[in-house]
Amino acid sequence: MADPLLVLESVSLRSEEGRIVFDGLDWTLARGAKVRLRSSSGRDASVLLRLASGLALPQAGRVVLDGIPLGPYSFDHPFLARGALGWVPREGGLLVNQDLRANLVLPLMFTKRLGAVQASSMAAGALEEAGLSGLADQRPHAMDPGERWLAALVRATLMVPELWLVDPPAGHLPRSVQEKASALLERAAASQAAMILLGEASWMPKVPMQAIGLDNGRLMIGDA
Amino acid sequence: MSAPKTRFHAWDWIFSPAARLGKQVRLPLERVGSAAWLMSRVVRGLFRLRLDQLDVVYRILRMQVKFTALDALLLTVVTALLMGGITLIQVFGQLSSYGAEDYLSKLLAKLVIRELGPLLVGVIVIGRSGTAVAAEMASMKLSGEVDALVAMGMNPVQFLLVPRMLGGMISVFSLIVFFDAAALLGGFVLAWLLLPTLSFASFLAGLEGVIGIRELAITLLKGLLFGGAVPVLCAAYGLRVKRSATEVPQAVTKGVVASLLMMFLADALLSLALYG
Repeated sequence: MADPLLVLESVSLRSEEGRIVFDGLDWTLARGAKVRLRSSSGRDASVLLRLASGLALPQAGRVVLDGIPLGPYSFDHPFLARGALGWVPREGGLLVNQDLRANLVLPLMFTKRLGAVQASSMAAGALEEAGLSGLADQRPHAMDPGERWLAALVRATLMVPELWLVDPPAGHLPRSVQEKASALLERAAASQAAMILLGEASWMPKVPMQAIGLDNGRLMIGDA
Repeated sequence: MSAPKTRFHAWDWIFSPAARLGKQVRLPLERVGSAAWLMSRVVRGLFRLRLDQLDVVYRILRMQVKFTALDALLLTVVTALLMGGITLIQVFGQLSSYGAEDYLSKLLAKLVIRELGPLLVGVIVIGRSGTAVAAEMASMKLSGEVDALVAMGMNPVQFLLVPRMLGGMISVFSLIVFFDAAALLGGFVLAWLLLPTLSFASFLAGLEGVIGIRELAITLLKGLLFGGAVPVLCAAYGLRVKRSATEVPQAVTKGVVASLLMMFLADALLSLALYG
């Protein structure tokens, strides 16, 4: 069996309302594997990504990332601490009190240990490529949701992650954002990194990925 | 299937008031323990910062000092001038009835430097910056910014709390120094109006014996204590919100109340220990 990167062992989770989200879920994601996750409930699929990143903890079972179980205070987990996770949530998660450039520069400096000049140069290049350089000095609230999500994707790209967790926005994305996002995701899918991509929007890159369905807390492996 | 019947026991009736009373004691103690634990994480986070992370922390720290100290300077100075004057009116009334106007500057300095300065600056900082920190942390938690920091390997304790704690310490200490100076100046101006024979030189000479290294050390201690604890306490309440924007004002209120309580309690204990 391929080297596992992410392992969910008998994971059970209930929502705050008491609804069973996962009940004894077992699943393994190998290094470099690319998965497209389809779900009747986008919320449950998002919860799976949160479990995989340590942002949510199961009430029973455990999640093992890169050989080390995730626990409370997951920011101490070595995989996360070295910036190996490409986290692209549907709301973007950009820092609203920083401009777009700083949103890209700060993680490079803090986590990837780059100097300010090098980080700024990389951020400027990435923003130019994504067509967002005109917004570099703007704070996230001045951008539309699609641009915010694209900026989060650019930020994750700069971190050169080993595992991508990508949750696209539910609504319609402008065509320009779709094209840029598709190109970035296509490049990420061609890399050695593992990826879990939620949804099946028409603009998503047409690259071979394992299709997995999530229905009532159970994963159903589909065709490659 | 019917729900199981709950049996009533006599000891429930006997012990439930005791349990309720116990809960009233346990909850505040839990909160104190939780705040102390968080403070220890922040201090640990400070000492575990890598040299290459200091640049990022410094950027956040600079923003915090600008908002907490620089933007509050005018408000602090105006408050201090007024408080200095008001205090002097009270002190002057008492001293003049005993013909002890010579002690005016000494008494004013003791009151302002020992208690009024640290406490009123603390109240200003809680009102302006503590509320802002609690609301900012709560909205960051709700909008997924804190999650994004964690996922990107940016320890939120080091990135969010350490610069706010350091910024609070620097700001509160600096504001106390400005407050004390402005309050004494305001006091002198009013004293001079009430007692035109009073010279600035004699006013300053009166302060000489009162303001020493000990007073400065105590001011520094209070500044560091209040300035460090207020942002961390308010941030802790802000970061406790879970799902709804309606939790934000509740978090702000709880952060302010806890900060005020902590500050008055710490000030009372310090005063007892140092001047009692």
